[in-house]
Amino acid sequence: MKLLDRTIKNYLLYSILLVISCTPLFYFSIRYLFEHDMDEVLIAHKDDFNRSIAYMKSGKDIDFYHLMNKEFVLRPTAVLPLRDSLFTLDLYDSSAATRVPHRIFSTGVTVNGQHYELQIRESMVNTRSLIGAIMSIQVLMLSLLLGGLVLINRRLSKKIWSPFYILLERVKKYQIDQDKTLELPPSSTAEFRDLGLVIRQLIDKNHDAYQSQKEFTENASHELQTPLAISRAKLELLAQTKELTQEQAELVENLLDSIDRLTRLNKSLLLLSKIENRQFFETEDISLKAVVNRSIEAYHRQARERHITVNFEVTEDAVLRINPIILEVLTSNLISNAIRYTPDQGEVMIKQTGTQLQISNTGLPLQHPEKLFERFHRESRTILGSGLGLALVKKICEVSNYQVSYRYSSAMHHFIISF
Amino acid sequence: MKILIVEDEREMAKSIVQYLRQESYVCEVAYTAAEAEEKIMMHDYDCVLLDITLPDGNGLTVMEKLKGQGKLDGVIILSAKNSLDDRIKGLNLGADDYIPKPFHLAELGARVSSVIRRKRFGGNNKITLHEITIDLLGKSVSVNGRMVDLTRKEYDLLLFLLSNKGRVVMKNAIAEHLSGDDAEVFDNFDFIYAHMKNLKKKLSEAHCPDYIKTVYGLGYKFEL
Repeated sequence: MKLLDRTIKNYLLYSILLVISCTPLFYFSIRYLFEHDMDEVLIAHKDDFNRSIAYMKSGKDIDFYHLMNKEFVLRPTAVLPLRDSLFTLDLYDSSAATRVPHRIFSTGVTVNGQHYELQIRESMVNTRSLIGAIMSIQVLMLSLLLGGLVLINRRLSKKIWSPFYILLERVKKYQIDQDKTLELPPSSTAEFRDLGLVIRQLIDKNHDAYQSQKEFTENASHELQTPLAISRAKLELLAQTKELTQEQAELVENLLDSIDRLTRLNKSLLLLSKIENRQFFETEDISLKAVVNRSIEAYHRQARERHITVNFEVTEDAVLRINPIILEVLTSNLISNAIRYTPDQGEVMIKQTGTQLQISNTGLPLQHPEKLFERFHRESRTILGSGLGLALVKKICEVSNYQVSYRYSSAMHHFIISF
Repeated sequence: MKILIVEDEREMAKSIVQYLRQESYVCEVAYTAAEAEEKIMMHDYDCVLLDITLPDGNGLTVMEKLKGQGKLDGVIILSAKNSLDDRIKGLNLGADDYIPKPFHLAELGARVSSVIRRKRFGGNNKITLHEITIDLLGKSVSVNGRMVDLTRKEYDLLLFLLSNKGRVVMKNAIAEHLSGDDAEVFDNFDFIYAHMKNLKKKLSEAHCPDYIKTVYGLGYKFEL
């Protein structure tokens, strides 16, 4: 539930509860007041009647009086009734032509020695409609009040909270590897300003940490290059010395091999961090087919030596907008990888369509396919790869918005890149 | 033949000097851009090896000065920055070659001798060593005036060894040289042995003495 809805929900609940409970209360109290008022009038009428009794000499007089005052009803009765009573009764009303509620005051009177029951009636139809009208106005007012309250509250909240929502949106959209810092929306609310500042501080700290970590890898491998180059040069010079024995030559050879591996590893690491740092931003339109062909050419010898057939099928050439260096790294890594891990006499199949590049090679299923693209994960320790080839492939796909996937079927590994 | 090495890593500079001296080149070293500029003003060099990252400036500015003076020196850029940008900038400014660090000294030796040959003789020269003659333009080899039919790889291999004659050339350097920059070398040197065997066989069939010596498991040496 959203913040705005949550505050409004509570207001709304309270208001509805208030309306529901107060409307009957209001209705009954108005009705009570009206009835009470009417009863007083009716009782006052009895005094009028009592004053008229003196002029009633015969039954005729009584009929006449009755004719003149419809609300008085006299009914002879044997015994003097009783006490005064007030009640409501539905009676036929000729003017309304229907039964309408009447308020009736019943009392006993004695006229010319004869006991009568006197009923004084008053139609309640006007009172009822009055109450109805008052109630409808009341309900209308209350609903207007309620609706207005919700509306105003909503608009006000929206305005007050808008810096918060803008901030939230910006934090959501923030990407640590792309944006430098967070831009704060202006706000007159102190809390929001503080919140913004705190979030920005957090983000800046994170960004710095991320940046220095990235730079560290790059700087470290950069710094490693020189001592590696010097070591290699010195070993090459050592190999030039006149009285080199076989034993020494073997040691130099082993050292050179290790340095070469270190150099390659370092090169891949540097490349990886450069791609991560998005240093290959200059793009060109490049024909994929040509690049794939170049990569195949580069590893053609290695494949031939181990009697591996390499097939390349193109149904449609794709022109990609990408940095030429990283595209070359992508294709040559996948192809060299395929050749490297194909057993002798195996097969490498490369298929290219307008939107996809699939590189397949024969081989046994992997033990940990889920770790395939991880850095320094190697299925086999016997083949000396850097352990970074596929991590590079993944990274390149990531920064270029390509999809890379792996599957194993019919005794072949398939790497599929969708552009 | 005078070579100026502009390189701020003293050990690296020392190694390069030591290696190139064996080819009877006269080497001078400048550790800073200022030193390099001074030396360029005073002397003429056949080849300048120029590091891009120098403590007091960019090697490319040295390059601009050099070309500004209309000097004919061949320039090879050495740089740890294996970025396309530097490469293009350097070559645009008139550098003759570009070697990304780290490099094999043998590779450097080959490039230096190639640049010097081009500068000195306009590139259409022939190298003659005893009975072997190499036509660089036609990329052909003859022994005692008779053409030896070599494949492209065998020709490259012979030229590479010749450019580093008298020195042991590591098989890793050969592998990288023959594969080009693109290919990562798998730890397998069988193809070098195969090319070497064929090359030696073709040379001996042409009655050329066996100048190519195997140095233990390390590599090969062209020795007259």
